[in-house]
Amino acid sequence: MAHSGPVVCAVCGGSGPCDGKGKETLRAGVWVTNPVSVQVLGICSALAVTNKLENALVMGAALTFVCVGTNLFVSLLRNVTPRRIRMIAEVAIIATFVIIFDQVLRAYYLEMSKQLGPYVGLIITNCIIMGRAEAFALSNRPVVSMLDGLANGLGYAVVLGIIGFVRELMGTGALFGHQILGAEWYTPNQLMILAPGAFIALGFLIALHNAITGVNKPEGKGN
Amino acid sequence: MKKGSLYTILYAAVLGITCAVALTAVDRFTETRKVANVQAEEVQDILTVLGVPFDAQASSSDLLTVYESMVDEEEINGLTFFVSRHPEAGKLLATRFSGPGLLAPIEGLICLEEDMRTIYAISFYKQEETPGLGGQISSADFQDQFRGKMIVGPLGYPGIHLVNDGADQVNEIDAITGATMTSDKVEDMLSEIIERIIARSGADGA
Amino acid sequence: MKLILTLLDKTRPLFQKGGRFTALKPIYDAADVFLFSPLARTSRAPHVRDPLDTKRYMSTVIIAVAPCLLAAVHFFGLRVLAMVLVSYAAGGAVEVLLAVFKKDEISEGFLVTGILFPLILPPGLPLWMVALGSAFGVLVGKELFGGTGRNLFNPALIGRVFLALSYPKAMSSGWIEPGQGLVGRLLEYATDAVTMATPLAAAKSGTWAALPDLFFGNVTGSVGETSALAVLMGGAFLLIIGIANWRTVAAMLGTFVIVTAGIYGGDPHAIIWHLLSGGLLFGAFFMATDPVSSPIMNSAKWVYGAIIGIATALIRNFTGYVEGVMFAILLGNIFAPVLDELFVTAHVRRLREEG
Repeated sequence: MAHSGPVVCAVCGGSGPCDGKGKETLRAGVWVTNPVSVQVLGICSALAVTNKLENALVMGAALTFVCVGTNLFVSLLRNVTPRRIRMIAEVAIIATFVIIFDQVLRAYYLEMSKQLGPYVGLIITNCIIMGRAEAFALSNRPVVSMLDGLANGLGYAVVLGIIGFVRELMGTGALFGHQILGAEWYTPNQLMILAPGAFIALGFLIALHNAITGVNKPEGKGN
Repeated sequence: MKKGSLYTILYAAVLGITCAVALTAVDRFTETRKVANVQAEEVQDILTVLGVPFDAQASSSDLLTVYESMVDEEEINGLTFFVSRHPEAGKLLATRFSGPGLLAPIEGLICLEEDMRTIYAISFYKQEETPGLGGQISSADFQDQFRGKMIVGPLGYPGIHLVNDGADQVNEIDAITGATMTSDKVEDMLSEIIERIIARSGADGA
Repeated sequence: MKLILTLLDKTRPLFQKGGRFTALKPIYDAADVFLFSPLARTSRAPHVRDPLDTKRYMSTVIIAVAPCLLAAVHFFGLRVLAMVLVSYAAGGAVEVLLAVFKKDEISEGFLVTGILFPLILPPGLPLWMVALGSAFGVLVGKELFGGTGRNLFNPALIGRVFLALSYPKAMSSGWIEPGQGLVGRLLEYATDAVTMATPLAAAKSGTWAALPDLFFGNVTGSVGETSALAVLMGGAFLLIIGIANWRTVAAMLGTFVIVTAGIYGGDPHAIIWHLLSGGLLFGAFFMATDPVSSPIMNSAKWVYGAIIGIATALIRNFTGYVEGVMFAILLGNIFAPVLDELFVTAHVRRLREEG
């Protein structure tokens, strides 16, 4: 899950400090360079917790919270952090935010905490967070860094929300646990609850995204 | 931005301490609720299987109050029984059982009537069997089948059997179609706890 | 026929580029190709040597499954025909829609998948599930990989595995009791027929079906797989014509027999019983030999068949599943391209050393 690509700004495409405008930063995180459907990062959790819409949204919220917090602090400390230990420092900050969220969830929403299982804790190793901290927050001002964290967190949450919506609706005929499709005529598709269902749903979502943005369009296809 | 080693160490120490303080604060802040949640959860399972009515939306502390006023714990021969009085069924005794499932360990509670032979209710509160197949053991339909069944067969042999060809004996339950492995494992873990229960009540002279 | 040919030739310009119905060209082509012969020769598997083109290849397979289909109608009623029709309609619709969308030609590949798919389903399965499985098999199993000749997996098996995981209850309970006597269920639709466990499932609890019943097909099971006799007739036909490769079949059944013999201590009854039961024979002759999803090199086919045979025997005897042919063949499909790669490299190296 390690982030190993070149450090590239999602907004301007450069590797230096970015002065991107808020709107573009948001658009980049949610649509143009969506961490899940374009960069295909954070797949493990995206597939694991999306069998219910509610789980997917809470997980999206968790990642957004951690991403915003981490980006803010990494950016605030960017001029005082020694280069040599910057990654360890980032991980320490990430872990702190993750554990805060996990503890609060355990105290106030135990049911959800149990359903998400280890995946809240595993946000520490989520490459989206580390990636944004390294690629963006380390070289940008705090406010725009927070915005970048928010955008990427939302991008993740939106994708999880869509997959969770499709999987819960098809897999159980319900949304947020309320039966939407009548049990007398709708037979739940149990594949959608299982992990392969998540792969299939994500695959179709990425295909849809690519179809709209026109990536991978075959060139000069003769007939 | 080249800094000396001393600075690096200092920076790491300050960051580490700050994070630790923040985490300790959060932990202290949420501790009471977390402990109460864990207790409430166990209590909820027990109240459910004993048929004690409670408000599903009740807070953890309310649940504990209900539990303390309605349920006694009795330890006999290494088995902990949760005992309560039911308006219709009389004295009820529940105990935990567990065993390996097909995919992950299964845990449950079995609740018996005062004769220690008739099942009042059963609950598989922890299981991760195949959804739709083995996973149906925690469905109401499957669990309700146990109500009123005996843990001893007509010929006096202990054990509950999950059968495929129609349950017609007092100690037979319809197995889940397509989930032979889970059914077998459930049968095994029930036999184990039933043998221990029988051994205990036998020692009582019952 | 002459009339249709003239009509097709006359209307051809309407469907060509710039014509009025360009968007409907795939449908026009399908009619043209299905009734007459394709103008193009294949450039990828299934590889075809004149005078056997893809279409005739497909027709031969359809002739070969005819005995299975007849046996199925006899044992499980006219419902089987409805399943075949639904399978063709749903899969065909997806194929046509995608062809229009991709502005591509409709290929005849679906003619075979469309008839094999219902034959590997439980006879009591609701028709809408047949439709869904067929559509999924064509879309995900074939079209997403690039269409006929490019699919990694057997599309019919993809459709079945999709149904087996999506609706495990329906897929493990729709086993209609076969019709008895000379007429069987030939005149029935058979939706309200009694269901019972398949021989393989029953064997787990100690009830072994009689060998003659397994041979003639008088047992529960998937639509087309129960009659070993019918499968063998069709299979022999495919082997003689040369469409099914005998190496795959021999390797698969051979290794299956060896592993089963090992498990049952060489008991001949158990070996023959396992050989005749479930979908093993049907899978060996009709599914594993699919030229697209099996390796191309003859030497690789031996290993490919062995992987499937061994996996089937192991899944049947040591897992929670009573039947393993479906998973085993899909597993074999995964290995097919790798095996080809290995054997081609080895072959080239040998030629170099010699020359």
